[in-house]
Amino acid sequence: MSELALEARALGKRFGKVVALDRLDLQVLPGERVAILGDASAGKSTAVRCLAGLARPTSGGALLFGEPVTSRAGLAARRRLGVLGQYSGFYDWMTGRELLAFVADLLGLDRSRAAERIAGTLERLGLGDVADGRIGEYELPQRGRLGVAQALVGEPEIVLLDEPLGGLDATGRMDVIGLLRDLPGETAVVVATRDLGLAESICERAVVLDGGRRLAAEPTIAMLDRAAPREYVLEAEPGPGLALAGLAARLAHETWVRDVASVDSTLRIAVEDPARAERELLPAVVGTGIPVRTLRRERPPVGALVERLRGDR
Amino acid sequence: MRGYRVILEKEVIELWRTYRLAITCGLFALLGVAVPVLERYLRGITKLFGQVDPELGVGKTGVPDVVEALVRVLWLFGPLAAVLLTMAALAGERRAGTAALLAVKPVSRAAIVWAKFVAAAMVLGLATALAVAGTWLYASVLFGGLEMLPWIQLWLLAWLNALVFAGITLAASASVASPVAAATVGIAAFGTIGLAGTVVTLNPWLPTGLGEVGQALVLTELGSDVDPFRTVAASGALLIASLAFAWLRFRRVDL
Repeated sequence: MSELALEARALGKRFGKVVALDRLDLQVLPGERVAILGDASAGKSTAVRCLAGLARPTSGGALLFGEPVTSRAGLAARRRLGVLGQYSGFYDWMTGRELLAFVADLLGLDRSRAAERIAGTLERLGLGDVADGRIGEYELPQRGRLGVAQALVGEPEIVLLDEPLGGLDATGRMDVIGLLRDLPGETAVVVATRDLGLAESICERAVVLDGGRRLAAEPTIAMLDRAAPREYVLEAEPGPGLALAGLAARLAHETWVRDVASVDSTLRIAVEDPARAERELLPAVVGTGIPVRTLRRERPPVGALVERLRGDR
Repeated sequence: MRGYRVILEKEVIELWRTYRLAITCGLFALLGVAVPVLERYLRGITKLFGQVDPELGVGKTGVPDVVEALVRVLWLFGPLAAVLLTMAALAGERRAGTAALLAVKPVSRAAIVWAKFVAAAMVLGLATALAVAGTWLYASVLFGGLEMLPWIQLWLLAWLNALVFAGITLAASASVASPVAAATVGIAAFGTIGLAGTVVTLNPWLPTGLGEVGQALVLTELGSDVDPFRTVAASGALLIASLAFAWLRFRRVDL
């Protein structure tokens, strides 16, 4: 068996009487992509912070390339690690380029080689135009991109990301997902997120946390298809309340529909039979004459996945 | 200490770009020059406002008055500057999330604490040096030539005094999550040590006693009742204890 990139051994963290993380076991091989999923307060960020050596576990431990992450040897192993914390901050007086150069210096990269790598990372994340502007003047999506850039600039062998799409606009989300997909095959990725779409796009394996405990650990697509199948989301132009209610009522009686939920001008349609849904949903919507803004398929919120997995136990 | 040089470099650039270095040094240089000038011309200035009451004690002034005033100024503004420079050193970085940015890199937490302290020490050293140099220069011009070595000793003592409060505030900054709380601890330590320094038997063991030693050195009045080594050693021990506490706290704190 090859050396593990990251390992959690009965990793636990308590804050007084509150158990934030309860004996988490996790093994990540080089090149493996793992999602840590869960709702708010599930323990995802705590797990990431313990794995990155930012928080001291109250039980168990975390190993980075076989070394305890907070040990002297673990400190050296952090050269091979890139981290984006959920609330990572930056020095607002620096420019984006200076921040990446500072990170490269901390990682001990050769300055002349680092300059090229920094320029490339900034370009790939769409920060080339603002690279020499003060970070204090960056907008939220640009800060989000910079966070990802600083995690990747050292070309780490493992990347640990906590909600990497937080604060990003749609383009930023696509850029970051693309960048993570394009990472070299030997780079391991651990991403803590509530975004099932992100997990599905990047990770072949997912661990679901609930109240600090591991609820499930399975291949991502299989788990999501079973416990959080894609739903159709129909966003109508505001106004046709009655028509939308009529469509919802009609769909609810279809045998291929499992559930229809309506919020404002949006319908979420969970289906039992994806093939029939593919054939019949669009004609049904068009037939009503409702002005449709978007009709797309997406995974339900992570809460639905957790609910379903709880029910399975 | 892994990462120390890079973080120190960042700290110095930050002190420069955020004007903390310029403001602190400028203020201390101004104070240093103002002390001898005010002492020399105070009588004349007060006369501009009318007859001076002899009971005010504004008579002919000399070097001893200048040294006493300088010690008062440095032993007040030195600790205050130390508190202001270090209050956010660790607590501010924790709050802003930048401490986490550093701590996930191959950087020891000792390097972070030590770089913060050294950067503040450099500013305090430069600022107090400018103040003492300004006073020495102007006192030499206004009151005649003065030997330089005792003034260098006075500077080192003023620096050590400021460093003690920098160490205490840094230890507080490592322990609490708020810069204001860290500053409160630093100011409280300043007040407590100042009050304790009024007790004659305690003063030689406290940073306040360093001022007395410095004054005696410059005025060549070092008597048998003043033991510079005891006072320096006590303040040095307090500084080392503060830094050790800061490191022990910061290495265990969750970021």
